[in-house]
Amino acid sequence: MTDLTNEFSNMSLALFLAFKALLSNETPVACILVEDDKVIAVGYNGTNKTLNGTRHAEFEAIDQALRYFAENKRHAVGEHIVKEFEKVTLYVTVEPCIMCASALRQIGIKRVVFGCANERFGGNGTILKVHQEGPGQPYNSFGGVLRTESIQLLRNFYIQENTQAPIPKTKKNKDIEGKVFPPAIHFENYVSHDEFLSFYGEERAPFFAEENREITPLPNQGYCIVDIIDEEKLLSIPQLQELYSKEPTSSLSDDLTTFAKTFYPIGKDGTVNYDKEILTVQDFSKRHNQKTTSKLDVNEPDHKKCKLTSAGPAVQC
Amino acid sequence: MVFVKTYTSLVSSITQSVQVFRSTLKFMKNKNRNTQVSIDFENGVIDGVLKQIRQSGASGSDPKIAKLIPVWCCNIKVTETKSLLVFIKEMLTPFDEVSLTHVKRFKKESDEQQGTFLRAILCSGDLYGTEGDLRELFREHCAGVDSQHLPIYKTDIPKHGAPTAEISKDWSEKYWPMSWKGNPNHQVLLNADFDVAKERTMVNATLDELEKRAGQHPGDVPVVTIIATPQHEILTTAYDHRDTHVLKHSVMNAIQQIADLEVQRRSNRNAVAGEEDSKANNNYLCHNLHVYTTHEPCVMCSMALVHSRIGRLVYIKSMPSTGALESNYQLGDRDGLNWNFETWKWIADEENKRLDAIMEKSKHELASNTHI
Ligand SMILES: [Zn+2]
Ligand SMILES: [Zn+2]
Repeated sequence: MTDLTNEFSNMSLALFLAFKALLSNETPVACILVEDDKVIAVGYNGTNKTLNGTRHAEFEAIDQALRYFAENKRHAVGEHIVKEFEKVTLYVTVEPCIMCASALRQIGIKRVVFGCANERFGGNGTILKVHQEGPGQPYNSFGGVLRTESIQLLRNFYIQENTQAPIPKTKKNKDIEGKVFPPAIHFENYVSHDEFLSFYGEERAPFFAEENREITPLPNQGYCIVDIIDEEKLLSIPQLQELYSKEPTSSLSDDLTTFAKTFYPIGKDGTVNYDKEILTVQDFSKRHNQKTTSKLDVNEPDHKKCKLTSAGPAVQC
Repeated sequence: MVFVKTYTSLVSSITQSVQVFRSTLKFMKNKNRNTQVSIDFENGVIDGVLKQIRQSGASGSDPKIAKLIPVWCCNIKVTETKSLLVFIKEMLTPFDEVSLTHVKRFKKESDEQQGTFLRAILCSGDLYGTEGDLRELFREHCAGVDSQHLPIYKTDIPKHGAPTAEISKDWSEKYWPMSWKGNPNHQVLLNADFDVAKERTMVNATLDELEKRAGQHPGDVPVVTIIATPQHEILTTAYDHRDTHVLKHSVMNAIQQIADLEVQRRSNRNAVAGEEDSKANNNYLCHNLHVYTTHEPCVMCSMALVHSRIGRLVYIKSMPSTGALESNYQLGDRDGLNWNFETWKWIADEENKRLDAIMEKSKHELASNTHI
């Protein structure tokens, strides 16, 4: 049996970082770089902060990894960089864009695991196959790990406005009912059949061409995000510790409680359970506002059923 | 086209321009300058020095086949036309990233139930996610149209104008009435409005920098990128720093430098003003800036230019293996990306030879598979 629990566990860390970005009104896309089961770098989308449209999460993480290599006296300059990344896996909530896909190839990443497809800019199979075509060393890219959760964060973000863009959208978000997720990843655009089996296992062979089911950590078993995310693993990320020490008003356990209620569970047949009541970004801010007076009981039943924008995962990585 | 080179002074005599009409070359008076440039419409070459690089000009694409995009449409009574036009002009077009000037706004139809009615294009299909969003907008902002019973639906139309009048007529029957204003790429070439002398100065500025740099840092990958305003004011010059960081190609560095300049500018401004100025005075990324670089950028750098919303790219040397414009992918005007920029290749002999000479002198051997 091919157990993907560790892949899901690693991705849940990236998902939580993306969730933290959403809480501070930043694009909820994040990633981690993992080497020998150790998180060596994390990255958020930094385009708004830096005023540089190329500072995608992957670039932030790569720069952090280079600092990590330097601290550990590893020689990651010039063309030696390829040697240093040969054991490193990128876990990113959204498929790398064309730019990042090329960057990852140029540093010689071992492999990529991503959540949802990047419908507008995807460079690992959705728009271009930069991971497989062209000069240099190709890498494998495996999608669909926490796919609906990654989309859910993006949908929450697009309820708000990205105020930096020059063109305002007069989109109205009221009266939009909970939307089903776009069809599951069409794997043959991303990996060969053999590559698919090598990662997802023989038992998941039907998923190669399956349109409506999600990958789960164990075949024929559903999951909730709380089953997957590991608080200890989260706390072992120095950057996250630092983040919480800078924000005295927020606590990891509060955030984890909200996080757990942001996503629909996945059933054992790989279908989304849309019946569960979930929280949306409007609930988060409500919670934040009430925080100083009384702590909001997130179990209270008055939360409306999920309201989503019509926007799909069309994000700049 | 050897004779074109005699026009570098941009002052031509009538007898000389008569010669030119033997080929597809046409001489056009620049809008704002008392100069003339020659345009080779067929090959997309301006004054024999700037070659247009574009997806639709690439081999393998049939100009007769329309690329389709979805648009939102509605059906209205003829009497509602005026209200609808105001609504479109004020509420939709300003926010639409897709230009719809190549199609007619209305299509007249009639049936037994409604008599004569108009089908109207509202906006691109991407602007609104659902029919309900649009109906809500109608309800709030367009009192002159009965929003409750309005049929709102999506239809596919050609993305661009047709290359010939005949094809335009075909597409009008097949998809939607087209506005025929001549070959749209001819308009692009006419509107490019190059000051070729100034472009030559910019291209030589990158070469001057390259020469200087190759002398000072002989181990560097010899590539230079300059970012300038459309008025040719140089904002920043960047070199390749892959010796310290494999992704620090000159294009990436130039984009970073522009961001740094803006961060600095805003902080200086806020220090003076004491509070944050209005957002209208902020520069957005590299919005509409012009980029001059010695070599065809790689996939990463070309896509970085898309993300940075540049207006125009000019490069000198093609990189057949790693380049992501004419060589692979055509990322400058690739369909489906949310931003396109003009791409031009500087093909004049003089500067190409000068680049080769500098590259040869530089100690760095540039391998064909080096990402630029
Ligand atoms: Zn990216
Ligand atoms: Zn590059």
